[in-house]
Amino acid sequence: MTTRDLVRKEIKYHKLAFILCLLSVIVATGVFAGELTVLKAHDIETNSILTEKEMQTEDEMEQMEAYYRRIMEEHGFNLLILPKGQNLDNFYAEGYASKFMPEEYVDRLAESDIPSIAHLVPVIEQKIRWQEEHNRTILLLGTQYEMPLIESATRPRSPVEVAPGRIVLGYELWDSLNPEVGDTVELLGAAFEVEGHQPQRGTKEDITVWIDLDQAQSLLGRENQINAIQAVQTYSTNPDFSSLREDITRILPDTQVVILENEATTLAKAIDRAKETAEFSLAREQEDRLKLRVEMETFASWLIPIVAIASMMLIVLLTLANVRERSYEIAILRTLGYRSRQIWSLFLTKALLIGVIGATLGYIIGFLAAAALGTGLGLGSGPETIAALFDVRILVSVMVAAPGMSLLASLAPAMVAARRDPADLLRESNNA
Amino acid sequence: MLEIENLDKMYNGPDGVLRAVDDVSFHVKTGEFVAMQGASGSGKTTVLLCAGGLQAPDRGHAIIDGTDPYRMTPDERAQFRASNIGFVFQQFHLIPYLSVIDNVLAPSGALPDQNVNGRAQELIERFNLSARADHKPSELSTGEQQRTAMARALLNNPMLLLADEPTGNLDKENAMIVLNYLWEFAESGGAVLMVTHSEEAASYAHRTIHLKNGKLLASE
Repeated sequence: MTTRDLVRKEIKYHKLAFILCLLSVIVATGVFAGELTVLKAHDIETNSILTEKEMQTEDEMEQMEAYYRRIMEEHGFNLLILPKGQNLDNFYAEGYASKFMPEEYVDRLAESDIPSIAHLVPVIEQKIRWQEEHNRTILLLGTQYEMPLIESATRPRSPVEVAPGRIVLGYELWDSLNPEVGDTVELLGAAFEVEGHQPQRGTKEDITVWIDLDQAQSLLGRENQINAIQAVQTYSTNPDFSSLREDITRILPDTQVVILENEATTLAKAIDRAKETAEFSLAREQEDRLKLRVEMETFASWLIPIVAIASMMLIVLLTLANVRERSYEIAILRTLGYRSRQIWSLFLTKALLIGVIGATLGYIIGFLAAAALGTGLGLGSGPETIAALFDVRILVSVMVAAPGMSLLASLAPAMVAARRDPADLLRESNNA
Repeated sequence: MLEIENLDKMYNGPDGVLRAVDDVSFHVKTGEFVAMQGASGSGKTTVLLCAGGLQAPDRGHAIIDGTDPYRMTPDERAQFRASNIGFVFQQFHLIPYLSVIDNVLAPSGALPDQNVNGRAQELIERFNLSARADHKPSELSTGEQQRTAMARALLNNPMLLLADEPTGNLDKENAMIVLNYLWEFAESGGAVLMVTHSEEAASYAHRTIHLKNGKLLASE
């Protein structure tokens, strides 16, 4: 007859008390493991929601940016860099700049550290009399398309690209002169081959001719001079036009920047606002999830100790009741020669057993309940979810803490049992 | 076998210090069956507990086979008790969740190295409990319960058997059976000290000692 046999047979005899102790440990460990696993499920769910939202926002932003690029293609440039001395009243009244600046400004700007400028196009534009064609007033525009500074940037609609020796006519001019493509026309004493014409726009462009920049500078006697730089600011990096204006004038102090408000710039601002809203919404969601987690943690930080203390108290009470009920048995075992530590081990072995079985069952129940809740939260129900929710640290904590608590709770009653004087009990039984 | 010498034992009671045993001395020799009689509160059970190594006397000695158990550590005393002394009580004190055979085997837990299964079977047969071997104490008659307690007391082949009113709860027939076993135990070379109120039970003993108010009156 070993102590183990005595424990086993006593448990079998006092099933109800054992089951009650076991249940209290199962509840305590179940709540502990369940709460922590629910927190983990919450973290996984939060991660999933935020990732999904981020991807959704990125998708939407990409779509809007693609739309922006399309709009930009239609609306062309959104920045105009003019000489600082240019009177804007005259510029708006005349439709072109009368002041000039060095062409090398384009290179300076291209080599600058402003990352949001996508395209730069130097322009020289003057109102002239086309003596060869009935001395009519036209706008001569010399241009040279620059390679984009940002390779991925979409090329804007204007300006018209013209090879040296060629000319492109505005709609009104083409309509009135009615030349064929390949015909030769004379302008300021130079011959140009007609390359084509622009569609009707109902603007000054209808009376504009486009030729190569160098040729225009030469014809106007303004070698290496331009009077405007058309530019495109990309949407994505810095939609803040005012800071861009400052950046440009820092590099080109003798210039001024005119923002060309069009649908593209409006859209850029709208995208920016949408992006800000999406980021705010994401941050808000993150904050809400964090708040919810803190609430869950607070709840768990109250619930777990309360359940653990209640469980320990129940074990203490049940073990004390067990000790009281078994007092004559303990006395007789002491009388038969059982040592104090054997009496201790009768109670502590049982406590350890309750702790280990309770922890195992409690963990399984708590984990499965939390996994079921996780499935309810949309985490899925497959082995991946189980694997994602499983945390070996929780298992180890449960398997160490529950038997530890059970032993701790049984310690005082076991001490009472081991210290009781068998002689007192036997005398009591005699008097009973 | 058992030498009780100048034994004093006092208790702190509600009315102050109570001298339960007052300078009691007697011997129980090997092969002797001694009955101890006296009124309730005369100190019989206290003497028995002191003799069994369960309660240290305030003065005097309880020597068993030349050994004073109170000079040992508690664990050594427990081992000594398990090896040398058997106890039988009026209330039987069987362990309720163990069967008859397991109750008989219970003392083996205190001396785990011994193989006593054969001895337990032998005792079960000797005390006519074979048919009840797997029954729990609650399923036994009082006579069967006391026989089980007797078998348990004899498992480790003790040299001294201490019995506290062993027939107090038994009918005449079962009391006779138990007393015969005690007598047989003494005759076979053991020593028995039995506390009893019953004159008839005492008549089975080789001699009877009387206690009154903790003092030894006479030995018959």
